[in-house]
Amino acid sequence: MNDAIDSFTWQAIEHHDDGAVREFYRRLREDRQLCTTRCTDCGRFAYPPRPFCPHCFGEKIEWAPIGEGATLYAFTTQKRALRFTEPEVVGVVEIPGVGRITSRIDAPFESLRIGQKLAFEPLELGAGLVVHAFTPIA
Amino acid sequence: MPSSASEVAIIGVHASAITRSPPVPLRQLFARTAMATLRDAGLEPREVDGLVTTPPGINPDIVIMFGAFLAKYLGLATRVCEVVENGGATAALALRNAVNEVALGRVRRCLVLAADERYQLDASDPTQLMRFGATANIGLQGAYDGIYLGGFPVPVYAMAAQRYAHEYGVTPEDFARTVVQLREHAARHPGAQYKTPTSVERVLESPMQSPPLTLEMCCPVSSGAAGVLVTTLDDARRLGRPCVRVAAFGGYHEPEHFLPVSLDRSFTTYRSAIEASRQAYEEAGIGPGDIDVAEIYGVYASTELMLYEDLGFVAGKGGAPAALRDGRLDFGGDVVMNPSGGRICYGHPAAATPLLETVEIVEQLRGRAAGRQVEDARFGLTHAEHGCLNGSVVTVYEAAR
Repeated sequence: MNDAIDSFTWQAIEHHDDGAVREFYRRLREDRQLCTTRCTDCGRFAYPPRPFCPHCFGEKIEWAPIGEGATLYAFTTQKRALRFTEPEVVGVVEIPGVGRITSRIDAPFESLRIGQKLAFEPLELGAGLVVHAFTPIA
Repeated sequence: MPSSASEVAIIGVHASAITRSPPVPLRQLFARTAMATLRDAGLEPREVDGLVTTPPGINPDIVIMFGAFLAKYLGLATRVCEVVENGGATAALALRNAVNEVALGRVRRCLVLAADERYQLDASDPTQLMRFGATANIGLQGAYDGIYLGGFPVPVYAMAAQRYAHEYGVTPEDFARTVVQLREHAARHPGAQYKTPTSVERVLESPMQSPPLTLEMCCPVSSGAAGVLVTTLDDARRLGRPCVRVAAFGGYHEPEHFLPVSLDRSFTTYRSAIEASRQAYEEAGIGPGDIDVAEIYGVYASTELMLYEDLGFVAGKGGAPAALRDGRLDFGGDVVMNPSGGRICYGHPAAATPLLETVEIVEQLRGRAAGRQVEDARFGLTHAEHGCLNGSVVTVYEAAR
């Protein structure tokens, strides 16, 4: 069931590829890294990654790993969803200098609190799809 | 309004009953709404020369050239015939386009129609459900967030609610009390979807959807339609119809879709609502304290409270729960919020919702909201949004006496 969902999801993701989408997921799958784009002109990060800079419209971008210093900004569970239904937790992770990114949070809902420190971990789904998750660190 | 433009009025309105599934096929719902709106305006079809409409809901039968199809079905010859769309703000944008065209004199009398029906999927084919779900999630939320926030927007609003509680000490009881008041209002509206009285305890005990939001704190799945007839204020007076003046619009859209990514944006202070209402108040030459009645786009109990603040009806962030407890946002208070029952209890057929808000405000300002009339209402306001408050449209109306 989840394999079929992940397969449809991957097809939908590929359909929306702008050059950055495939690279983002390739780095997750092959390098086990969460990365996004940074403008080499103005130096600012874009998240989600883009093949241009949404701050200055520069076209020279580079890829850089992100996730250092992440903290938990918000989290919840979903009664009905295609993927990650309760008790699995979804949330928003604050990454300094980058932004607040939506993610899977790998911990029980009751154990979590706003502001706690998190670390990135790759999460392997079906159909060769690897996505990002974050897990609490001491 | 630009100085060369005419003043614009609404002389006819109609709202269908709001129900879970559409009472009749969608094209029939559009036709019934068009006929009732023209009857209310006292006009014949040949006296209308504009049609601005919305896509026919989130519906597998979406077709290109829907405006042309609808004009043919209704038999309307027009100078402006178009479909407008931008998520939840759709019908407010349709109204704004109609008002602009009438103000500029390009159209004389413009019919605005909006309808929505809940998506009817074939549940006997799970692969169809999955394919639709995956495509819809990624299409709506993007290739990055769509995987995590699938299907319904509840978790997005739930995380904003969690931040609101965290930052301002708002409690689940505060969220529940908001629903209790809206349910009291809906009980007095003949077309409302959820009218049964509820209590703080009952709202809190209803099934948890996405913490901290329970089922009764969420807007329902709805179908329904609304129609509005727009003309110049001079024409309305010549026709001798009871009317309402459209006083101002304001809009703002930030470069975010659903949860904001930028570190300098807030989950709990909606800049779109602040900026759009500020622009509308300025254009109308009034302030939030002058508004007697408002219909706002609170699709979850937490959003409802945050909007009371961001639209200027409550001073200070986190002040809405106390204002609600003190009765300042109810009949007999400073301003009546969502006398229809709001999105949570009146119902929320998204593509039509902003126009349903307009219908309620027009009825209030014409003194025709039997059983729920706000006494001596002079200024009214509607608010519409899309995404998770990433964009807002605010409209101000004045009773024309």
